[in-house]
Amino acid sequence: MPNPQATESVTPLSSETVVSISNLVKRYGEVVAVDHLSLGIARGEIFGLLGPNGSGKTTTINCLLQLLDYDHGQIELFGKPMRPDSYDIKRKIGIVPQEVAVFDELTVRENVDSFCALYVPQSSRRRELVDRAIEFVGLQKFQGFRPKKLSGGLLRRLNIACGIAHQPSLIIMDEPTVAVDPQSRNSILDGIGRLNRDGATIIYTSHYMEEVERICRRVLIMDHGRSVASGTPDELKAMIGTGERISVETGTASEAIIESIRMLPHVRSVEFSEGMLHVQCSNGAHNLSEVLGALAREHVGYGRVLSEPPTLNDVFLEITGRELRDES
Amino acid sequence: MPTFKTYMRILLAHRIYIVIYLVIISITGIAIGLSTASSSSQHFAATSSRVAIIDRDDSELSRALSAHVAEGNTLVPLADDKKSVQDALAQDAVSYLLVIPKGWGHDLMVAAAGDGTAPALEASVSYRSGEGFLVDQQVKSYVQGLFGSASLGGSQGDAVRTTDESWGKSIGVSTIGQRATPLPNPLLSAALFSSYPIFASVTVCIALLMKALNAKALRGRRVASPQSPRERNVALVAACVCIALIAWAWNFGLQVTLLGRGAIARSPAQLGIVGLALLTYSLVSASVGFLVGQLGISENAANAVANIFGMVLSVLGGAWADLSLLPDALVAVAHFTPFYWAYRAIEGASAMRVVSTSSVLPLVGCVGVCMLFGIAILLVGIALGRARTRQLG
Repeated sequence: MPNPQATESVTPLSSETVVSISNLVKRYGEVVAVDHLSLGIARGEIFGLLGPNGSGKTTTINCLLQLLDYDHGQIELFGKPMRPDSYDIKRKIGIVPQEVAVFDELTVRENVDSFCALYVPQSSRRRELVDRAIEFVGLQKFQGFRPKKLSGGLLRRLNIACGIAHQPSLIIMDEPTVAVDPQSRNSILDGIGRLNRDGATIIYTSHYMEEVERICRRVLIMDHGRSVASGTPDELKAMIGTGERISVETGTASEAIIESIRMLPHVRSVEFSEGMLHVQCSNGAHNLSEVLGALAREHVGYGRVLSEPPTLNDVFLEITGRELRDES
Repeated sequence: MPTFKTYMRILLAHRIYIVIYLVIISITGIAIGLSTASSSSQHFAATSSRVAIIDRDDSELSRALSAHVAEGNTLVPLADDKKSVQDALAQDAVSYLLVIPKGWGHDLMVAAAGDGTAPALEASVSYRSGEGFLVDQQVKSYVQGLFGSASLGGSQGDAVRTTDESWGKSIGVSTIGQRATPLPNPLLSAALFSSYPIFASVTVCIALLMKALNAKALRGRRVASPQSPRERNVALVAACVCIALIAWAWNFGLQVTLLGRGAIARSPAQLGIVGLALLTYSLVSASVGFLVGQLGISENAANAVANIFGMVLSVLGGAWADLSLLPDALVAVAHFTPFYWAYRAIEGASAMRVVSTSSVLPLVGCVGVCMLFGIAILLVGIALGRARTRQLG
């Protein structure tokens, strides 16, 4: 269930606000892509922007960057109103788009240099920045390679290097780890942590909840263009009242057994599939012992027992629903 | 400047098209120009035909006729027997064979004094060329002259003198004052042909550059940067103009260097007009490339457009075949294509005999019309670009 409080303005933890969005509305004809969205991001934060496909994340980012006109609302960056000609503000922003946005015709180094040149015209200063960016993403050995010769992970790293070479204060990363192998993803996430430690404020969108949980200090979940929940990952988990997820290997389970477990306090749902009994609980102190006790009372033997604490993924599914969006 | 450099780097990555369209096809044009050099000349030399004369009459009139025919032609000695005559004609040893029958001079004098007609000569013409017919015409004219002179009375000698005197006076030669030298044919041919490599290379290069720049994700990155739209547009225009200038300089430079070096000193004005017309057409090609780029078509489609339209415009513009060979309907259509006007300027300049304001201005006007096509196409491209930007927004 969406938390009604979440639709209100999200206030940053620090007093120095880098991003401030108030009542942002963006319509495409009759469709409201962003519906009175408000949020604030403090300097030094890694802010996660989550939501299902079509929830309005990318539209919000495009409005923030003035790539799209919007119908209503105010956007302030670094304490100043953001307009299409706010070049002094744009100079402080780095973007890593969802789609790899590099020139196929240029080498790795030429790509990083050409995007850095949009922000830093002096070639002598740029040389140093380009070196650092390439080193940061670990592409030193591939400087002379064209993008088509790079693997998916290396391409993603190049995409990041092009967005951060000019050392921006605010970095917007739109799903930077899509279609990347675990090693490259780990490297990218470590890099984002380093950028943040160096002082960059980061807005991060992703479908990978474990990534968001790992690196984001605060999270805003969007759905249908609205903010439906926000806070730190722990606050969000507490907000939905979801407890642990218990899985017990039982081999078989009769309807009577399932019904007896369903009647236990704090049990929200029970499913049996492929020899495993899955029990989703709400917050409670002795959920595991009560489930195992119920099985013992019914003389049901069991093998492996798993108890997983709630994840951001549970929060996401709880708030945005479990139905497939692209098919609905 | 860094943005301009990036654009030029992107272009260099497509160097294969530069090599194919600009270098190879341009050199083909130069080769075509060189081939026209052998078939044309600025100097006229009268043809000398191989003739044989068998004078069986040996009169003053027949000797004068023989001398007249021999003058300017190559006299081939031939024995007066049937076999030699047949061999000479069968083996094409002579283009014209004249047999003056015995008594021909006397008969002509008699006929001229009375009301008769000139006696016949036996003449044979080679079947292989038309030279013999021209000599035959020459002979008939001279005989006519002799006949006319003989009708005035006097001896055969008098008739010959009168005829030769009047013949000499009948051809008046005067020199036309020529104040400008026409451009060499090879240069003209290569300049007209270059419309195709210029159009194809410029259109493909600019279309590919714009395809790279207009990729949605890349566009977002560039628009989100602190670079103003004006800076981006200036860099793009500079790159487009640079491509057009490179194509023009390469083609025109090659043409002048290899085929028309002498024209720099002899015909600078005409050369200037040809250069201006080609430069204008290069800029028109750049605007077509810009329009094609705004359409966001693929690399293959850009090549197809560049080749097909490049050839069509060149043909309709008269670059590959004289417009007089085209049907009237096509010539009417050609008026609505840019190269037709550049062609008119180039043709007009190459044939210009007198350099004056009145002769140059119409050609500059043609160049201006060609430029108008470029401006119109550019405006369509800009409108299309704005429409696409609104659509993306």
